[in-house]
Amino acid sequence: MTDLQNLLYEKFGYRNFRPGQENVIRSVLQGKDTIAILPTGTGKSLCYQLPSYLLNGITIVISPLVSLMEDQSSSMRRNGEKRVAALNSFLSFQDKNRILSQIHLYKFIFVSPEMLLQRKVEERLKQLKLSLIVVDEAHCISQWGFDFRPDYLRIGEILGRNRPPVLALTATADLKVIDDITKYLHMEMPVMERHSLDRPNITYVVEQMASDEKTAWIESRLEQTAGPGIIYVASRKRADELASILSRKGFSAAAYHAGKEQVDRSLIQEQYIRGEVEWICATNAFGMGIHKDNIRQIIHEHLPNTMASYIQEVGRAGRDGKPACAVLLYAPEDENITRFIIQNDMPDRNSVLHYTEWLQAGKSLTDAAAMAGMSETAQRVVDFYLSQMPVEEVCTSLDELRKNKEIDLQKMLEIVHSQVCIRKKILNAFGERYDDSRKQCCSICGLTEMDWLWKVASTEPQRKMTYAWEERIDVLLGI
Amino acid sequence: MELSSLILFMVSKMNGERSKNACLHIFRGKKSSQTLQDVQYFNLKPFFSVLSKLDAETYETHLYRLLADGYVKEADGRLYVSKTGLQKVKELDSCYFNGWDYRGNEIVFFHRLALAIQTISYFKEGIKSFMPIQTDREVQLFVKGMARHLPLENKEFPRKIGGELKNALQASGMKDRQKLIIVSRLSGFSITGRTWDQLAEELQMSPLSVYLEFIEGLHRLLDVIHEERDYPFLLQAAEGVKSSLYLTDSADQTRRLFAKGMNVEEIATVRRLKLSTIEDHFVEMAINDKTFPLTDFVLSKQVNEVVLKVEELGTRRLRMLKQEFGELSYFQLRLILGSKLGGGK
Ligand SMILES: Nc1ncnc2c1ncn2[C@@H]1O[C@H](COP(=O)(O)OP(=O)(O)OP(=O)(O)O)[C@@H](O)[C@H]1O
Ligand SMILES: [Mg+2]
Ligand SMILES: [Zn+2]
Repeated sequence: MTDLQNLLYEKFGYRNFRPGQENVIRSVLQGKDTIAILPTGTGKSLCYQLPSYLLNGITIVISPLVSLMEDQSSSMRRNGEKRVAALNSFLSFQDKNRILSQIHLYKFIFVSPEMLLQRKVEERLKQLKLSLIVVDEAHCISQWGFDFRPDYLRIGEILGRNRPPVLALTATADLKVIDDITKYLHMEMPVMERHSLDRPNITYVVEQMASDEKTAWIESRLEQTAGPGIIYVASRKRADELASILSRKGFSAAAYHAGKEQVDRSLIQEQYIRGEVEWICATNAFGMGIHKDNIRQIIHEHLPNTMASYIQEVGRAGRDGKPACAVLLYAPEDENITRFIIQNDMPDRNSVLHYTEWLQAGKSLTDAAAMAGMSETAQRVVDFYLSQMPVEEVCTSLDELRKNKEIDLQKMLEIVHSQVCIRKKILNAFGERYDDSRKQCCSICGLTEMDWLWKVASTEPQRKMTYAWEERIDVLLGI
Repeated sequence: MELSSLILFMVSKMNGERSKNACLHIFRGKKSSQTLQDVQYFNLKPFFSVLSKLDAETYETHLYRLLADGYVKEADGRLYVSKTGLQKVKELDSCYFNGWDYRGNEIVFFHRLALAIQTISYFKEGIKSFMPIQTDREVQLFVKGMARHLPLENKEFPRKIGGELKNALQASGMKDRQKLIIVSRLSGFSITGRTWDQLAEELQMSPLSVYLEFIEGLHRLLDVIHEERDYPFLLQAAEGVKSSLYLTDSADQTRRLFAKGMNVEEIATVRRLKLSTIEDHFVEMAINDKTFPLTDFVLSKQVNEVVLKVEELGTRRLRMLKQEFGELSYFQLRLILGSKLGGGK
């Protein structure tokens, strides 16, 4: 056994590394910038946690979602690592100051990109001895950075020249995204550990139907096939609506989206992980980083914007290695709905020109944006570009972006209309080859030997146990 | 309990005096002088800050329902209650909010309680690290501090806490449904709390109504915790939750020094203020704070005698009372009047 393996067992209780982990860890320990592209659920978090114990300094983890950050930091605390702090914009002023003043006492600091950009945080971090900088879900630099997280694009600038090695982690990156990661994080000849993003135990299914048939399809699917599962929908409103339809029919279902208060989100997640709720109707707020090992099905009621987000969401399934199924429901009008959603927020040439004119006329940023009819998100993107290049180039870049989004959408549509193996299409979309054939592959290759999916006898939905209030206290406290 | 009923009640109090957003500001606990005056003047303190996150859209939906049903009328931008509305107000179930005292802090109390219960529940099973239902670090640190003084390893401890919680809920006089709502929001080792949506479905109510009953229940519970001294664990979780904002700033500083264990004279010295000023602060505290420890200053026998005398004489005039109770100082008399009878003359 190697020393690393010993440490793996000692700190995490695992005997063996999963494919890719050890290479990534060694590269990090050698002080090299590293990009690790490992499929969803392989254990990318361990790729920075383990080497951190061998480096004497602080590890910074830049993470795109607050919920993801909270999850990771509390699960580390639960596993006995108490020197973890999470800095995000949801912290109260006092909390933030308390953490910042004691920051040298921590070993792992999770931070959101917008926090990193705050002068106070930046200065404090500069005084520390950093040994590793991790960018989790690094594809966001490309996928979201342009979109509504321009902050991600500035990480490289903030880190400056004199910095420790950077480790970028993601499950989904094609060559273009890898380029962006390298460029925006100012990485120098990064070591690349790239594994196929294929998840062999996931079966892909596309079902074509009319929009108004989807609810009924989902109902009968839940009746006949195995959970637990996640049903991804396009909006918060739809998540609430579908969850209440399903629970009224006696299914164990709940809604999850960013509009719910924090406690309710934790409750749903906890109920789901414990198996007290079987189906979650969710927006894309429930996804990245969520870890429950026995999810059997992912159903998409709408067409996701990009292949990357589709893979992320589908990647929640089958993390125990057992078979799982991903179904995409498609109605012809979905194409235009999704196109509208993704193009709607993109400022066009005219509004950019108006915006800069208003600015020159002395208007404030917000006023100018309002008058040019740009959303806040759009404004942030445009501001970022304007700080980097002349107006004309900004317009060209935005046109370029719009084209890219359309290309992303086309790739999703290719899957929907595919006449050949869906798995092949997906892998090709990320620049991977796939010429295999296997059982339980996809709805094109054929869905034989899927017995595991069907319920043996259609089980009566269980009526939830209800307690009187006094009983509930007894159960809570184990008396 | 419906939001529209609360709005109707509030409109009936402010009848024609205020525009339609006045209620919204009160629900949200807006700290503008207008709103603060409104709640005092129209006796709407109980509703202050009861729904701090109420959005304008929800508020308007409920208001329009009242307008459509003819219970409320709008004229010149002001809201009036109609005849049928007035009738309806009389039929409303009574409710018992105490928003003025708690100002949204009841939620802080509940978050602490929830995390403390979760901790006790897991410790009972010998599990010392778990996914906390509360991610707020402020709450986590508070409960950590609390837990340091709790006998978590004691086998009988969970039973004791369970008993205390049951008694307090019982004593609060809330409906059984409210007790269930409150208890259902708690999580433990073998059971996870229910979301608002789930409770709404189970109880066949709107999520907002569930939430209002929850808040009202918490206000009742907190009042009981503060008034009676039988709930040490709950009182600990309620630390600092009761607003002291109704004290003047100066009185509040005095209160804090008193809480640290200083007596009247010491506080006067430290603050370099006249003794009489500090005494005024204590009287202010006695009037406003139901937990004011009156018996630190007078015997409870004396308190009873004074209260009886006031009833007998039908007066609160200090001079007259002083003649009756020569052994008590003016300061002591004022404290008794303040604490028991809301002040003297
Ligand atoms: N070497 C290992 N052996 C066994 N289990 C492991 C190993 N490494 C990690 N795991 C476990 O795998 C699970 C998934 O890990 P993790 O959440 O880090 O995945 P991820 O690659 O970040 O996935 P995602 O792309 O969805 O974020 C965790 O429960 C983790 O403890
Ligand atoms: Mg991850
Ligand atoms: Zn196939």
